[in-house]
Amino acid sequence: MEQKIEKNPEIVGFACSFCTFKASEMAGSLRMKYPEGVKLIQVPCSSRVDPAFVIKAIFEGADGVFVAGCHPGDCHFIKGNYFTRRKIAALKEELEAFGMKDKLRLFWVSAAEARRFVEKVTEMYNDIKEKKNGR
Amino acid sequence: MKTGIFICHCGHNIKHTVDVAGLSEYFRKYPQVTVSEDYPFLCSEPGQNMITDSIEKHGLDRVIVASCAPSLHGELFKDLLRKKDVNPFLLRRVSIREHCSWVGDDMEENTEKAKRLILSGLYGAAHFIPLEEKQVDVNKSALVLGGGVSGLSAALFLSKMDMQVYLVEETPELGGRVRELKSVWPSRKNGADIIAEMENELKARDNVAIFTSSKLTNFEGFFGNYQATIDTPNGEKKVMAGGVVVAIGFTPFDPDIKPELGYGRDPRIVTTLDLERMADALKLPDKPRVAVLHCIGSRDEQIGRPYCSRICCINALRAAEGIKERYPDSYVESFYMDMRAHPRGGEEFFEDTQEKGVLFTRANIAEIIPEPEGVVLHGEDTLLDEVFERGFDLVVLSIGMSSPATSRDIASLLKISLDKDKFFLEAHIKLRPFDTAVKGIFIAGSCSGPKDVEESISHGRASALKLYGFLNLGYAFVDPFISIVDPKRCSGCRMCEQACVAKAIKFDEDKHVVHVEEAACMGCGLCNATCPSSAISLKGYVDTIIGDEISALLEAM
Amino acid sequence: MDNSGKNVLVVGGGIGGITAALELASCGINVSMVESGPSIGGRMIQLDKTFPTLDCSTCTLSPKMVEVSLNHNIDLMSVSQITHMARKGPGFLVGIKKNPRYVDPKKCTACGTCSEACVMKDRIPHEFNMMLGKRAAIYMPFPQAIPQKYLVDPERCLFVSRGKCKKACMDACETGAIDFEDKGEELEAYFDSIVLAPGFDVYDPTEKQELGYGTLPGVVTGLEFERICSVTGPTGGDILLNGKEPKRFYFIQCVGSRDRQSGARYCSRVCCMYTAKHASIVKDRVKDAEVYVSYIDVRAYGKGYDEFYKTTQENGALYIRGIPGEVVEGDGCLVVRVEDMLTGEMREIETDMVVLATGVRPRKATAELCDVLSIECDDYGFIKVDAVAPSQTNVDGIFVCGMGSGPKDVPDTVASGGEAASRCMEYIVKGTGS
Repeated sequence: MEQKIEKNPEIVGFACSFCTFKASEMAGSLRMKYPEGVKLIQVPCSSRVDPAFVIKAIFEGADGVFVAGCHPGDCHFIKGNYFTRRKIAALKEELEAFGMKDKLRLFWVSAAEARRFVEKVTEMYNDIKEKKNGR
Repeated sequence: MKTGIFICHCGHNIKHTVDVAGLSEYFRKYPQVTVSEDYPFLCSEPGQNMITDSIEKHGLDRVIVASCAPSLHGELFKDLLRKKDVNPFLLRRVSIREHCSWVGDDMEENTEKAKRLILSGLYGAAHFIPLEEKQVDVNKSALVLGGGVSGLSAALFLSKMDMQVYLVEETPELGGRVRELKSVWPSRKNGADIIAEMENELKARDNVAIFTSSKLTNFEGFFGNYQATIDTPNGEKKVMAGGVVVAIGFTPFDPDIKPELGYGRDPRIVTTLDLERMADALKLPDKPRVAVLHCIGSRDEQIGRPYCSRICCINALRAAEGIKERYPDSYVESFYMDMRAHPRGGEEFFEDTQEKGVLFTRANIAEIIPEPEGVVLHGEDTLLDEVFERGFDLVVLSIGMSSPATSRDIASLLKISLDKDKFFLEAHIKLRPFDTAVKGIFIAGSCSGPKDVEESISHGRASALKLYGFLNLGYAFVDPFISIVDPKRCSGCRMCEQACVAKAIKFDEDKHVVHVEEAACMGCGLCNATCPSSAISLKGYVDTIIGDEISALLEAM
Repeated sequence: MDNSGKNVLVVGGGIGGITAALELASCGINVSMVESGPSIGGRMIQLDKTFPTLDCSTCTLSPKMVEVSLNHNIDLMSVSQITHMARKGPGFLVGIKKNPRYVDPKKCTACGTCSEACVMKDRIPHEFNMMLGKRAAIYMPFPQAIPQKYLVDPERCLFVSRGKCKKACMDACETGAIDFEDKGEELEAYFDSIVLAPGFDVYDPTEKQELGYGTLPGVVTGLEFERICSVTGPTGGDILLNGKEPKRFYFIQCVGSRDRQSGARYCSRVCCMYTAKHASIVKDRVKDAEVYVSYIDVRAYGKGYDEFYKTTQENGALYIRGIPGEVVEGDGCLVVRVEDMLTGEMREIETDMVVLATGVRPRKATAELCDVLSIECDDYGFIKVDAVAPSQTNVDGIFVCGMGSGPKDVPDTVASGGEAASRCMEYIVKGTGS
C-alpha cells in the first residue's frame, strides 16, 4: 500500500512595509518560527495590492493568499488600509462564488506585533494544510 | 541584462540553516545570471569589495544581495552600485535571514524557501529601471515635542546649531518631571535648578519659539518640509519644520491599576512621587516604621507591564535613605525582587544605605491592608521562604514608568509606530536608537523607554544631533518611489484621483488624462491598484515586478 | 553653518568612538581617529551576538566600521597613540605617534600569504581571541578588520625583535608590501576639541583562586566564551572544550564586580545580560545542554531586557541565587559548590564548563592618557563627568563617551557617543564665536 504523502501548502502573503513587514522582521530577530511554506512579498502599503495579484497567485498554485497591513487608523499612508479592507471584502465575495473563499485572508499587524504575525500566518497555514490533506 | 547574485552567510546566522554554497551554485545555471557568489559577511569590507569588483569585472547592471532584512545597512549596498556608476535602484535586497534562516529550522526546507525568495528577487529586478532621487531643499528648523529635560536638551542644542526651534509643551510649564525632583541622583542637584538653567538659556536665544499649554493638532508633508499645526492659547499656529524630535516623556505608573496596593484608600500609602512632593511636609510619628516597595507597576505581567522601569530601584533607595536621614530612629525596610542598582555610583549607594541601617528583604508583597495601628503588608520572604505580616506607619510605593498618555495620538499624527508597551518604537535598537521608520522624525528620552535624568539628557542631545546632521546640508534626497501616468493608456476615468489620499493626482481637462504631482505623492500605490486601464504605476512596485515575484515564489522547481 | 575647517580628535575606535566620529563627520567636521590597536571595532567586534535581540554583532558593527574607513572626513590612524598634549587657545596641540606596521597599507592586498609563510605561524597566542587560538607574527587581527591590512607584531617577530629570521613573509608577498625599515611616524596637530572613547578591559579572575581560573581546565571568562562562540574565533563558532562539546555549563555572575575585595564596588552593568545571552546561545546551539546561572541580583533593566531574561529561563536555564564558594575538580568534570539561597541548601553541581561573568575595568592605557591630558578620574580609574552634561570632563573641550566614564551597554554607549559629539559641536561653535 502506498504511503500517504503529507501535502504542504504554499502561502503567498503581501506585507506592507511600515507595519506587517516590520513585524515579520522582528519575528525573525526574535527567532520565532513559522512554517517555511509562508513567503512574503513586500509592498509599500496594503492598498497597493491589486485584486489581480491575488487571482494570479491562486492561479499559479498558491493554496492561500493573505494581505496584511497596519491596523485601521494607523496606516502610514493615512487611509490606504481602508481601501484595502473594502477591496478584499469585495474580492472575497467573488471568490466565494467560485468556491475559493478560504484561499484569501486579510489581517492587521502593527510593527511591534511580531507574535501576532507569527500566530496569524501559522494559523492560516495549518487551517489550509488540514483542508489540503482532507482532514 | 547582466545580473549578479551575492549571497551572504552572515557568519553562521544564515549558513546554519540555509545551504548558501548550494544556492550560489544553483543560480549559476540561469542564463541571465552572470555571476553568483556567496560570502561570510557581505557588509564587511572584503564582502563589499567582492561586489564592486564583480560589478566592474562583469559589467553588471542588476545586483541581487541576499542577506539580512532590507531595512539594515540602508545605503551601504546602494553606495556600492553608485561607486561603479550603476544606478542604485537596480539593486534588489532579498531577506533570507529574518525571513528565512531565522524563522525555520529545517535546512532542506529553508534552502528551498531561500531559493524562491532569491528567484523572486531575480525576476523582479529584471523589470527594474534606473530611478533618480530628486533633491529637495529642507527647512533648517525643528519641531521639538515635549519640554522636559530631554526636549530642552534637544532644543538647546539645535538652537545653538543655528536651527529655528519650535518647542511645544502640553502643560503650562517647562521642565516635565525633573522640575519636581528635589534631589536628582547622583549629583543631588535640585531638579528645578537644573530646569531653570536650561529654560533661561533657551529663552535668551532668538531662534527658539516656545509654546506652552499647547499641542500638535495636525501634521503633514515630508522630510525637510513638514507642516505642523499647533493649538496654542493664542490661537492656531502653523509652522514649517525640517524634522521633529519627539520627547514627550512618560506617565508615572498609577497604582490604582493594582487595587490590592490600597493606594488612595489611606494617606499612609504613598508613591515615591508623592513623597517627593511632600518633602518637608511629611510628618511621621516617633520611631516610625517605614516600608519601601520596589517594582510597583513594573515586571508585572498580570497588569500588562512586563518591562523593568529602570529607575525605580534607585528611587526607592533615595526614599529609604531620605527617611533614615530625617528620622535616624526609624525602622526602614525595603522589599525588592532584584536590586537594580546598576547606574554609576548605584552599587555604592546601595551598600551605604544598608550601612545606614535600612533593611533589605527579598520578597513578594501580595496585599497591603490599612489597619488602625498600621498599614499591614502581607507578603512572602523569598530567601527565608516564609510568609509574613508586618505593620508600618508609612508605605512608600516605588512606582515605575508607563508610556506617555499621548503616545497613541502623537504616533497617529506623525505616522510613527509604538512598541508593545506603547512607548515609541525605534528603527533599530542598536544601530538606530533615535530614528523612527519615518525619515526626519526622531525620538528622545523616556518616551522610547524608561530612562533616568542623565540618560534622558544624553538621548535628547544625541537625537537632536542626528536631526541636525540631516538638515545641515540644506537639502535632502526624496525617494523616487512615486506614481507616474502613461497618458497613452489613461482613459480619463479619474478613479485614481478620487482614491488618492494625498490629493496628489490632478486631471487635465484639455488632454483628458491625469498626472501626478510628484512632491505630494506619498508612494502608497493605491492608484496603481485602482486603475482599470493599467495606466498609472508606482515606480519600483509596478505590476510586472510584483506579478513576476508572485510567479517566482510559486514556480515548480 | 559651515563646519569645514574644524578638526576634532577621537581617541578610541570602539562603538563609542565610531559613533562620535561618524556623527561629527556627518556634520562636516574633520575627524582624526586614533586607535591603539591594529583595527577599530573595540570590544563589540569581539562579540558573537548582542543582547537582547541576539543580533549578530559583526553584522551590526561592520558596516559602521567600513563607513569610518570610507568617510572622506575621517582620517583613521591605527596602531597609534597620543604622546603629549598642550592647550592652545580654545583647542589643543596634540602629539601622535603612529607605530610602524612594517606593512605598507598602500601595497597590502590582504591576501594572507605572508601569514601562511611566517615561521611563527600558529605559535603566538592571539589577543583578539583573548589568547585562545594562535596566530603568526605577521597577521590580520580578524577577517573584518578595518584597516583591512596585515601588520607585524614587533615583540614576537623574530626579525624585528632579534634580527634573526629569513623573512619568508617578504618572499611570499607579491606586491612587496612588507617593509622592515618602517619607522612609523610622529606628528603634531591642532584640534579644536577632543572626544575620548577609551573603552575597557576585562577583570582578570586569576586572583580568585577558589574559582579555578588558570588552574582548572574548562574555566573561562565571559569574553573568552564570546570568542569560542564566534564564527571568527578559535573554534569556528563551535562550542568546544579540548575538541569536545561540553554538555553542562555553569555561569557565575558578578566575578570582580560588586566586590570590595577585588577593588570594584561598582556594578559592571552588562554581565547579567551577557550571561543570559550566553545561556541562550548554549541552549540554542548545544543539544540537550544543561545550563545553570549563579546570581545575586539579575539586572535586566533595559528595553526588552527583562523579557529576554524571562525567555532565557523559559528555555531551560536554571537560575540559582547565590555565588559559588568554589569550583573544584571532579570525576572527569568540574564541581561547583554553591549555597542556594532560595532553598537554603548547599549544592554540589557537576558541570563541564564554567564561565565567569567577569566585570569591567578601566584600561591601564586610560590612566596614562588621563595623565597626559590632565583629566580627572574617579577612585576606580573611570573618567569623571558632569552629572547634567554626562560627557563633559574637567577639561574644557575634552569630552568622554562609552565605558571610559563608567560601565555601559551598547545602546547607552551609542547614546553617549552622540551626546559627546553634540557637546563637542557646541564647544567648537562657541570657540569660534559663531
